[in-house]
This record gives sequence, structure tokens and C-alpha cells, in this order.
Amino acid sequence: MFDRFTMFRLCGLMALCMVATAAWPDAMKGVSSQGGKGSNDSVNWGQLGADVTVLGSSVAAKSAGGVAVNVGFTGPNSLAAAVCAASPACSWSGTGFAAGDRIIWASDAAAGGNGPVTLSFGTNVSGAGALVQADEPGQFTAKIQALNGATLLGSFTVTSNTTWRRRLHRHS
Amino acid sequence: MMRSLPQFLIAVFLCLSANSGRSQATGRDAAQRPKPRFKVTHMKNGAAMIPAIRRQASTGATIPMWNFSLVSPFDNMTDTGQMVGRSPFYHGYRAISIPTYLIPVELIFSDGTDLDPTTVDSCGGTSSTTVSLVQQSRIFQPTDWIMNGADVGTTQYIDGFQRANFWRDVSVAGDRYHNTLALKTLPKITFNVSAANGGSNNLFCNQGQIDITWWDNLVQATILPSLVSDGMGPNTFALFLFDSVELCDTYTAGNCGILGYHNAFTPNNVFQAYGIADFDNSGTYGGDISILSHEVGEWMDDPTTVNPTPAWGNIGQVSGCQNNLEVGDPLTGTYFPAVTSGSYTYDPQELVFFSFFSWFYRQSPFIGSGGAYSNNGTFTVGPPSCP
Repeated sequence: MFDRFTMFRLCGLMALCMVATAAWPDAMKGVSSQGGKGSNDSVNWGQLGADVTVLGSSVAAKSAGGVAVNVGFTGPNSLAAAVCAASPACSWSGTGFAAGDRIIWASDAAAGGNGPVTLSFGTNVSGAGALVQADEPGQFTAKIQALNGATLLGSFTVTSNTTWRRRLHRHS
Repeated sequence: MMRSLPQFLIAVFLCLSANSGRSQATGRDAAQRPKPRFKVTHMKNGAAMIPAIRRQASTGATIPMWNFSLVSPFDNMTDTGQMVGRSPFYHGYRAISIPTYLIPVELIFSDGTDLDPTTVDSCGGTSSTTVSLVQQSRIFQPTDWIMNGADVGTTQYIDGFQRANFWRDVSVAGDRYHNTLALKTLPKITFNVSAANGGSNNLFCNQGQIDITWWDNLVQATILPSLVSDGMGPNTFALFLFDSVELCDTYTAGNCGILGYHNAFTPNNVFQAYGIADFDNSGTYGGDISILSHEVGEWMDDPTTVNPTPAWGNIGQVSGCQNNLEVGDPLTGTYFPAVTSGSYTYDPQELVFFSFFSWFYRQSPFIGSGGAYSNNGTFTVGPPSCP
């Protein structure tokens, strides 16, 4: 089991998908597709506020299924954002995400980096994943680490596709 | 009597002309005026410094800049460069504000002529100081801009231009892309100009001329270092304001007519950009904030002064060919529709779109607003062949 979930080089992070469970071995397995994950819960980042809501060093959210999720950054001023086109306002433009998706941008208006992002779950979950996109053009490598408390269970990396988006899932 | 009448009429005409010269100068009423020009400067070791400047911009050690690279469809050359702000092609929120220090420069010439932007210039025909007119102008104050039929938003002129420049990409995010200037006006600085470095004339009304090499050395060696205690530094854009003073390539040779330029240097190896603009109250050139808009626009799209383009020229102020990204030079003397604020009517200059597949690259489709090559639609085709 693990209760912390860390991503490096995270720029845009869409709705988080989770698999809640009561019992699971402490072993890690990477899954690179949303369908392969078999999610049964998710977090909509729209609950953090309207487009361009400035976030503190950590924010609290809750999944649709009621699991508490704490999002931590290395500093304040990350942004909650809506993917364009969306009403009444949006700031995340370009291809990749679907219009109207809600994301966390681990950066700020000055493009300072607030990654890595740490997600801590209030109850045990057997897996978690996210869609990741970089702010700027070019391929990137995302890294995911799974921890149980301070114990590193494992990590894996994945290189983005040419539209700079990569699904990242972790399954234990 | 009959023979003296024409002289009388001429005398009346001259009096009327003198009176009208004391009303606000406009950019459109004096075809006989000399044509202004703008100096193209290149920072020393600019190309060699670019890797370091890119690192400084990305770490916040200097003003924010974004990098572009494209293969020119015109000559198949790969062009790379930097622009101020955040990239219009990035995904996220991209509204920033650049601290901009406006520095009024009082110049006192050897004949006693004193040209001071912080006082009311009687040649200007207004009761406002030159610096006040600039502060209240749309270079710094927002208004709703329509550029080539597109409402690019309520903002400052150069920000509106840059939004229009990349309209296809920034319009999708509504109001989320801006590069605005955060104005701070510093106390004026005063210099006595020796007869070797400048002089004054009264051709239209009080006007000065100074040597650009003397002035630029003064800026880099003396003025900017002295303003550090006022907050001046690499994270700011320094904008010097003259009242009716033109620059000369060499003053003693009389090669004048330069109303502004933008430049950069690297004190302590860190990038610092600055610009100089004249506000012509004398009526010699007219155009009030056209020079400011020209230079600030060029700084926005070519802050390092070394951004390349395919060769272009034989248009606007440019005779011959050049290959640099100067968005003002091709349209020097062409004005955007006048904007009135209070009792003053301003004449910003029309600027050329750079946006990829642009005027400089002679290709369509255009991604600027209205599908035109400049922000008021004057350019609808690319530049003449060059050379």
C-alpha cells in the first residue's frame, strides 16, 4: 500500500484517477493507459477554484468517492486552470486536453516551477494516475514515485508523445 | 499698393502658421517635415551572449523572455531569437508585467537652451508636461484596441500589438495573454551638453541635437549604474525620455534625425535592456508618442537586438537591405488611428507583425489579427525583394 504519490516535471495535471482498495501488496507496477488502470474514482481539480486561481503551497481536495487528497508543491503560486475553450474563462490553450478540463499547473504567472507535486491520500488507494502536459513545446520525461510514508515503493518514467501529453498511471 | 498686397497676405499666412504651430503638434499635418529615422543598434557580443541571456531569462535573473526557432520558408535558414514576455505558443496562463522605469532627461545646451520633459514645453501647445503626457498616453494606460477588425482587448498599446501579432494563438484564451509595462517614473536626470556633443536650433521651435555615441556611452557607463539604488537593474526596462532632442550618428557631421533606439548590454554579465525615445514638441518631426511606440514595440519583439529575419528593405525608413527583426522601421511615419485621452490626441505608430508566417517571412496564412501583416492593415503583402 502507499499513501503518497509524487510526480516530477509536472506542468499540467488533469483530473486524477484513482483506484481505492482495502488490501493490496506493496509492489509497484506502471500502467501507461487510462483504460488499463481500471479507475473507480477521480478528482476534479475544478473544486480548487475558477480559472487562474492561485494556489498555496498545499491545497486540500476530495475525490468524487470522498477520498481526501492533499496536493503539495515546493512553493506557493501554482494555478488551477481551465482548458480552452471554456466558459466563463480559460487559460490553458493548445491541443492535448479536452476543452473544459480542469487542471493544476505547477507553475505561476512568471513561469516559476513549483514541482514536484506531491499527492497524499487520506485513505489507502491501490493506484493513481494522471494526464500530464508540459507548458512549453518539446518532449519531456515525467517521473512518478510511489511511497508508503517515507518508504519508496518504486518509480518509473515515461517520455511524452509529440503533443506533449502523457498519461501516467501507477498501479501497485 | 498692389505690389505690397501679396507681401501682406504672406505675412498673415506666416502669423497663422506660427499660431497653429503652438497648438498640439500632429503627425499628419506637415508633409514638409524631415522624415524621422530610428537607429538600429546591436548589443556588443550579442550573439555570443545569447545562451547566457536565455539562462538568465529562464531563471528570473533578467526580464522574462521566450525563445523561438523556425526554419524560414523564404530562404530555408533557421532563425532563432528571443522576445519579451511569455510565449504565445505555450499552454498556460501568460500574463506578465515588466517593471518599466521612465527616466526624464533634461539636456542643457551650451547656448542655454534647456529641454526638460518635466516642464511644460511652450512649443507643444499644451499645459501638460511632456512626462505627464507620456504617463497618460496609451503606451502606459489601457484602452480597448481594435486592430484589423479584431477587438484585442483593453490594454496598453504595445501589449495590444503583441496580442494582435499572435492573435490566432492567444485569442483562444481570452484575456489570459498579456505583456504589460508597469510604469515607475524616476526623478529626472540632467546633463549639460558641450558644443562638441550637441547643439540646439529653432528651425520650427526649440529643438536639440546630440551625438548618439556620446549619449549611449553615458547611458551604459554612468547613468544606468547610477540608478541601481532606485531599483534599476536587469529585471527592469529602462526607458529614457527626451523633449524635442534628436540624435546624430556624428553630431559634428550633422547626420541627425534619429529620434530613438533600443539597445542592451550586459553589466556584470547580466542582460539589461533599455530604450531612448524623443517626444517632439518642436514640430520638427511631430508624432508625439509614435517614437515611444516604435521603440517599445521593437524592444518587445527584439530585446537582444540580434533577432534575425530574411533580408528585407527598401521600404519605410530603410534604404537598402537589412535582416533584423525591427517591427517599427518598415512603417516609420505611418500612424495607427489617433487616440484621444483627455484633451490630447496621441499618434502611436503602426507596427509590423512578426508572427510566424509573417511579413518578414513573406508567407501566408497570417496568424495576426485580421490576416494582415501590420496592426492597422497597411501591409497586405510582404516586403519588396531584397537585395
